[in-house]
Amino acid sequence: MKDEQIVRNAQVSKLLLLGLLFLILLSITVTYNRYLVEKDFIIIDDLDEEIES
Amino acid sequence: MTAELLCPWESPVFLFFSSNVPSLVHYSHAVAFVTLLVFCSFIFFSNTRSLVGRLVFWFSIVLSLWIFIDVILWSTNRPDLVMFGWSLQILLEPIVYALIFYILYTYFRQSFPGIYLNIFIALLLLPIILLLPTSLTVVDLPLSYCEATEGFLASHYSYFVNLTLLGLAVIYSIIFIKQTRVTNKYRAGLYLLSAFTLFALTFTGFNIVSTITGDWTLSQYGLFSIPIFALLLGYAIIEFNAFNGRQFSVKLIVLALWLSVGSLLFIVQSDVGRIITFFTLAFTILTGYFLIKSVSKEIEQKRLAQSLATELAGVNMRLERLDKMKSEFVSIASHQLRSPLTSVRGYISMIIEGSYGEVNPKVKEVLTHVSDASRHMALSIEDYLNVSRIEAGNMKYEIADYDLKKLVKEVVVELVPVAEKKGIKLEFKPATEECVAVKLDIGKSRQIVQNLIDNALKYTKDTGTITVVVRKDIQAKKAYVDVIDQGIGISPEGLKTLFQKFERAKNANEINVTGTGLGLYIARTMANGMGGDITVASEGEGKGSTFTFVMPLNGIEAKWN
Repeated sequence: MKDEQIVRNAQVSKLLLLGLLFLILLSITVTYNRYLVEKDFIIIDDLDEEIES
Repeated sequence: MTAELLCPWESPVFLFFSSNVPSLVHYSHAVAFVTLLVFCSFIFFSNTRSLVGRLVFWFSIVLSLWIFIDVILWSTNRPDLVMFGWSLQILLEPIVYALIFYILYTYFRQSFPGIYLNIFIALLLLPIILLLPTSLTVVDLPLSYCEATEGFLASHYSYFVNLTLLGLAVIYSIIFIKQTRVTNKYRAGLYLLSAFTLFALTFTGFNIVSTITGDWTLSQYGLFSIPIFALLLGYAIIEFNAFNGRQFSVKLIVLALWLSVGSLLFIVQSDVGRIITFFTLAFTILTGYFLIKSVSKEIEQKRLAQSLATELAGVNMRLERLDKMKSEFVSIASHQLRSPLTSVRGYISMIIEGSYGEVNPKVKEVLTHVSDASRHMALSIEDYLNVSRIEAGNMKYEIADYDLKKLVKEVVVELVPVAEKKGIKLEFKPATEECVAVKLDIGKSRQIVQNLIDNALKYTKDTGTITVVVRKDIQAKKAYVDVIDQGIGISPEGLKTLFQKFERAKNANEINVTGTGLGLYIARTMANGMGGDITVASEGEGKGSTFTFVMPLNGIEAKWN
């Protein structure tokens, strides 16, 4: 019974790790898309002020 | 339009070099990157099957990636890359800390954490993973200084996760260290714990300071702890052979030697030089091969010896348990035998005495034999019981002051009829008129003297004489009971083992076949238990023997006399 439990725990842990890895890859892809494709996060106010001054 | 929005410095050369990167950043990152990769690869390749080794390898990969991204962040002038890289770093940091936790846990516990702990850690990491692309992680990027504005996840939650994981790692390590015996693994574990804690604290510490002050140059100092981290780990490897690194280091040294000697072949110009180098290389290859082989053999032997020692300890424990069980069994069995035997003996003696009517003389003779045999049996059972009491440590002594001379005289008087029946003369010759006061257990001392005289009677042929002498030596403060017989004697070899369990003199069976070989063992153990001893002297087979029961005088004879 104890051995079976250890095996089941190991399997669940592996599934958990795979799930996390999948989420990490997905998250990185979305982040890549957000910053390298859309580029709507840049604040140019400071730069304008600097240029003006 | 967006392609033109760049940070206010030139594009980097070879990805890492631009005017925005202070030399401190290059220095701290290069040292940390190289040290980490070389050192952790060393640990990984020294034992690729080890779970801790694999975790350390992944730790070094993730942290190296973090360092790599960090240099790009400093050098690049592309805002999109800064935002993406910044987000990636925020994701990688908790993973580094999770790996530190798993490394320390697995090293001490030698197993992976349970499912609930894994789920807890996954839940800790999940918000960062899921919310990475949102403005909760990085908000925006002012172009003038090209640094991302951090959201709540980056400025608060990620540090909370890092410190929680580090705290968990330290707590679990300390719990395991307290449970572990002080071995090389324990000592190496202390260095491992110190190395990772030092690194993690400095890394997060300087990052927190940078987040608060907004000066990211400060965060570079955290990376300087990597060489110290490597030093601590290296010391653990060399001194305590953590991660089985010794074998691998020998291979590394030999390989370096081969490469350096081999490279000479391409440098040396003269033919003679080449020939000498060739032979040197051949010699180096040969000796290096034997060196690796001998180190591997030594390590293998050490491992074998350790496993054998562990196995032996287990076997020893099992034997001790079996021995205890055997003693208990003998004790229980002897008790079970003694009770029915007592009633058998009682009824037989009543029949012989005529309590159930007149008995035919022939039947009476047979019953007398049965009675004698059952008496022998009862004595043997008593011996086994005594042995089991001795081995279980349950032998109790009721010590009292008593006159040893009086005690011996009483025993002799009891046994004179038995001796006469065998045609043996049993004499009692006290060497002193005074009493011999000794602290002893009366019952057990009587048993000892009885046993010694009984033996003398058993092993003395008809018409011999047995003399029992009681004497005392005031100066040595000792009392002696000598039982001198003219029996079959004992060979010098027999004398050495006479007091051992189940040992009998070689010629004992010639004259008496019923002995168990336990009497003298029990007698001497009892004598020792009362602070005395039994010694034996014999000039050899056929020349009789003298058994001496020695007890310390209690020093109160003067009062008694």
